[in-house]
Amino acid sequence: MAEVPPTTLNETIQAVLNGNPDAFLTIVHAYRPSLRAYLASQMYHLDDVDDVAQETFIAAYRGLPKFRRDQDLGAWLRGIARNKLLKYFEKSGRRHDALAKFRKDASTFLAKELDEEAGRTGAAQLQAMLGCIHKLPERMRQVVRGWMDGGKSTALAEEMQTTVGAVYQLQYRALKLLRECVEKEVASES
Amino acid sequence: MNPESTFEKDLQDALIAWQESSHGINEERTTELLQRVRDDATFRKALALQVWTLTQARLAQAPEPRWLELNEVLGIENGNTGTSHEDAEFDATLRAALQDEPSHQPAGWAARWSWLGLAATIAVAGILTIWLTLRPANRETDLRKFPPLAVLVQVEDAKAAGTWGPQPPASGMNLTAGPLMLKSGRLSLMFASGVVLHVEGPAQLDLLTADRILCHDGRVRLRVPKGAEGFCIETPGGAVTDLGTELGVSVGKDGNTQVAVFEGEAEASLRIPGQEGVRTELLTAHQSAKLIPSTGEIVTTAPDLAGFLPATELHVPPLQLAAGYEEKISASHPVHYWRMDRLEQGLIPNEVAGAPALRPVGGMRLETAAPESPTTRTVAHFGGKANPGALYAVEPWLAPGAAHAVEMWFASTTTEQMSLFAFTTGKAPNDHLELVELAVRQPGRSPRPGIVRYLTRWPAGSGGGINIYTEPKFLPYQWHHLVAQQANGKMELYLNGHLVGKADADPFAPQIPCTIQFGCLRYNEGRALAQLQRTFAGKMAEVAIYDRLLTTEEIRERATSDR
Repeated sequence: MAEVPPTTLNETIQAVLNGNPDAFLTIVHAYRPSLRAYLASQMYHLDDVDDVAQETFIAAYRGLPKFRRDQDLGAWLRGIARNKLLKYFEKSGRRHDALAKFRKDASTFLAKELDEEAGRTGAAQLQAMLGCIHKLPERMRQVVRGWMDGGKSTALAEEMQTTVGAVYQLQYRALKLLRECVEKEVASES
Repeated sequence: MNPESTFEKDLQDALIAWQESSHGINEERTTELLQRVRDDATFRKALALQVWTLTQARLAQAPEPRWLELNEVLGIENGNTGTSHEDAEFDATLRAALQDEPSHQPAGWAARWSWLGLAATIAVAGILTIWLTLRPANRETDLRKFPPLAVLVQVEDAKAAGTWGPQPPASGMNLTAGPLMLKSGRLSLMFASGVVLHVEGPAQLDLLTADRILCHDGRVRLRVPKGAEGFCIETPGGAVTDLGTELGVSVGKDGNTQVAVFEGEAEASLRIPGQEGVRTELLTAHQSAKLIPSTGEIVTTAPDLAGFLPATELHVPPLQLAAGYEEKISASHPVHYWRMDRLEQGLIPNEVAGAPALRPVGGMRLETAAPESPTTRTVAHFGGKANPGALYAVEPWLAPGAAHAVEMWFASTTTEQMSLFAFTTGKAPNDHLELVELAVRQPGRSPRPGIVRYLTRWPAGSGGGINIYTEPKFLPYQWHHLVAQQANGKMELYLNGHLVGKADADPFAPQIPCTIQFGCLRYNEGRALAQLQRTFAGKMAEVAIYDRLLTTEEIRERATSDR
């Protein structure tokens, strides 16, 4: 989702290239939600997501003269992020981490779909998501909070005094409800 | 199992594998799922949607980052690349919004922009946790998505925690929905409805909507004005809903919650564990209760005020204007200029030679500036309903109908309907020629505090007239510069240097004898103070009246004189 209109974006890029680094903040603010989401879809730890996202923006700032104006800036940033992500995986040894094997392999197949979703994501979706989380029944909310905390289903099940299977079921239903709710909220906002 | 069920089952398992890999699903099944991801485009799309929804839910609840390294690379101190507060953003958008062509009828987006109106809209969404963050720089769009819910009206030794960003909490800061964490000290927030929430650190809250917060732990105190009943403080497993009151809530780390009602009534509610039932308890003044989430019990207790946040008095920040401000006003040749900086023989003198002074009545007093701050101004303090007061010119004025302008600084301390100034004619009940109010209602619209109303009536009367109603533009406990002016029936209203409304009215007669008054709807000598209506609660300073229109440049220059 290009949050900066093309004319403004061109002016913003030109301002950065003319030596106004403040203008780069416009780009950071506009593309941060989708970039973080893109990275977070493939990384476990949000701290790592933010480190890689920051590195991506630094690289983008330094490489901005190479950006072609006819390109999609979001896609260009995700391209940089992809390279950063690969380096991160190599550095963190994820390639050999059996725990993350499914995600690594599946994300290769899902690359196109995730990239498309990232292109459609902005602050509005995240805002709507928050409202939708709040509308969930309490136990589903508890599961959703568990995602944020990075908690494993076993720990969550214990905390909720239920089975892991029940947690998965709740999670699956919560995702469905959230997706429908966000779509509805964003549609009504627009 | 039919294909549809298989699809669902595979999708669920793939999501488990995505999150937990071999901890969630065995290797054989993982391989099987992976193969389906590779070969089945529909399945791939469905899984991507699941993954993306899960990612959004994680991110939406996560704090925004602080990217100090990026700031350093950009050479920007506190560059707001990550977490920050909303005020700079809001102010910038406010300025942008104010520069838009004003409209008698609210323009579509401007109506949506309004911080109060939108807060109400967002309230429907019922946001759980949005982190205080500086929004993306597409400001026009984003402020509409992230309206401030409350303004920080007072900060006392507050030490921020969590996601406040590089700038500490400061008076005047606008807060959107999101977490509010405080290590120590106190913060006082005023919501759009006029509800005042005091928070003492350590505390962890979420601002959810315009009438709802979630208190994870800490002590809060709530003051709800008439008309804003229903404000809800969610607590772990329960909630306390105000029914017109002042109350305190104290939430412990264990989730146990103490509630005390100081005035009025409140309803405590608590979900009973293991079932859908909710226990409720009506609490009246001087009653306390303990909410125990683990058992679903609400136990009324003896009032123990020591466990609650004591009442906090709120203060408007000092008005600081650039040195030489008064010289500039005088050089503009006003016909009246009351600096409101001193009393002479019980009157506020007029700086214009031979022009009438103002007589203070009732709860109007001067608030002397701190001597150690040369730019801070002495201002007039109006006591509102609690201590009604007003000012009026001791002699009538022949208002020049062709053109005149009124200029002032004001800061309100409530969001109720209040009159700032009026030109009235005749004897009691006197008729209005001109009136400027801080309003809540406008015909045909829902109540929205923060509106400024500029009314002219020609001929003067007690009804009818032409009004300008602005979109919600002013915030309580902040100083605002206002100019209301009209020439040959062309009305213009400026706030903080920007034209916020204009209208065509009937031209006035060349000269109209009128009384100038400040701080209430109508004042006549000898009138009982208790009968004053729409009494102003707040502060006012540097009031000038001109027999001409001020230019845009003049207005902007003065509006930016505050330091």
